[in-house]
Amino acid sequence: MTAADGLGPVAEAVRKAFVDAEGRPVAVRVRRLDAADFRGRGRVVVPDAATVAELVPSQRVTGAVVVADEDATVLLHTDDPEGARLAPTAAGVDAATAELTGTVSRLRAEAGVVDALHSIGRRLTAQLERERTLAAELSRSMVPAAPRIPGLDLVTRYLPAATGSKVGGDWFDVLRLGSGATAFVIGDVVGHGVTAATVMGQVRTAIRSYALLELPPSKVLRNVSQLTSRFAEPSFVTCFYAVHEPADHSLTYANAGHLPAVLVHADGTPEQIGEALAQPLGVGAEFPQEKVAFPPETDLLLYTDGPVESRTRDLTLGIGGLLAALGGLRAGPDAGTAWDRLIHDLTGGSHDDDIALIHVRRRDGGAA
Amino acid sequence: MLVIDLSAVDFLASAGMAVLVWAHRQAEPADVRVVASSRLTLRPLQLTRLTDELAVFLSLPAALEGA
Repeated sequence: MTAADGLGPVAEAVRKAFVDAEGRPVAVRVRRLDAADFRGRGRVVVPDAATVAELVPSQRVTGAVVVADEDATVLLHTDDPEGARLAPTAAGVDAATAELTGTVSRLRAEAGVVDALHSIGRRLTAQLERERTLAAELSRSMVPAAPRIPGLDLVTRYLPAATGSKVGGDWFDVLRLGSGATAFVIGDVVGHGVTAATVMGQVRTAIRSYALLELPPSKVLRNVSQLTSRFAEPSFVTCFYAVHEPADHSLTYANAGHLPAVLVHADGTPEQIGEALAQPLGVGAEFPQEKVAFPPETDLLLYTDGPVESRTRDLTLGIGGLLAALGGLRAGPDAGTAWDRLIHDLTGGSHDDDIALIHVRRRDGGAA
Repeated sequence: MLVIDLSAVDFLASAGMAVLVWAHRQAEPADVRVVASSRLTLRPLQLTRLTDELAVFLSLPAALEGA
């Protein structure tokens, strides 16, 4: 056992609460939590003060306790008025981790606070898991199978967030249009979970509808932005929309606040296109479009920020890393496998945000 | 006037930017200023062109002066 600064009552409650079958105290180490404890642990849930008050009205909440038992179940509470529903925001919450070094058979009844917390922890963990599953299911159900397009090799990926409950906001689409053109859509809805997934579904459908009318990219995004700004919940959606016209080997695009796309020229040189053209959907009103040549042996990459941005990675450096890796990716025979490896390398195998991407290669001489 | 100082912020994703836009579009206070002093916060604001709409300053003194 070690003392933890400022955690006296919390530590004491934890130590009293855990006993073995004979009622003997189980060795418990109590220490202050820091932000690092929360990273990559999707099951850590800190209820806010209001939630705790609702669930256990008779308990006065004085600190936060996190206990990981053999099932990795987490229980905790906080009197921080801001609460901390999920991991990273919990930095600074007065919290303790108790690491059980023995087998816990029961919680001592008089330590009612901790007992109640254990059940809260389980309930919240289960709620979180249900929401995550629902959001993932909603998102997955909307992930399209990329159609086969003459003259184009396509790799598409959609990977829900691997950690936490952040799944839900990213999407992509590849649409064959009546004229023979192909529309590529990639986007990201602010927020996560079920709300983001349902907003995404509406925005995605709206874009598909305008795309099939073959409106030019600037008009597609303008119409959808008007719709988005009228949603009941204020929404903020970034989207890159590009149309490949095989007849004149061109690509016409507009960008609503999304990351720039990457054009990889035949000699392997990457070029970012469409950077900072317009504001996000729901915010912006005008969406200027640009047109570039898209000849055979050229690649187009559309992606969301999952592979390039995180709390621990500077966006600018992340994009740089992606651009640097594209050369090697193009050289390989199997782009799909190469992408899986690259995503793993860029994210350290544990992406904490959704990842969506479309990689298009114009095949040599394959004009439709 | 409300000054939102992001100087100590090292990660600004769309959720944070949505809040900045929301604050800016509230009727009160009418004058919302954002301090984004590093690339970590300025770059996302530039990519989304929120710099067109928000009053973004490179330092707190500049924001307070309104320069």
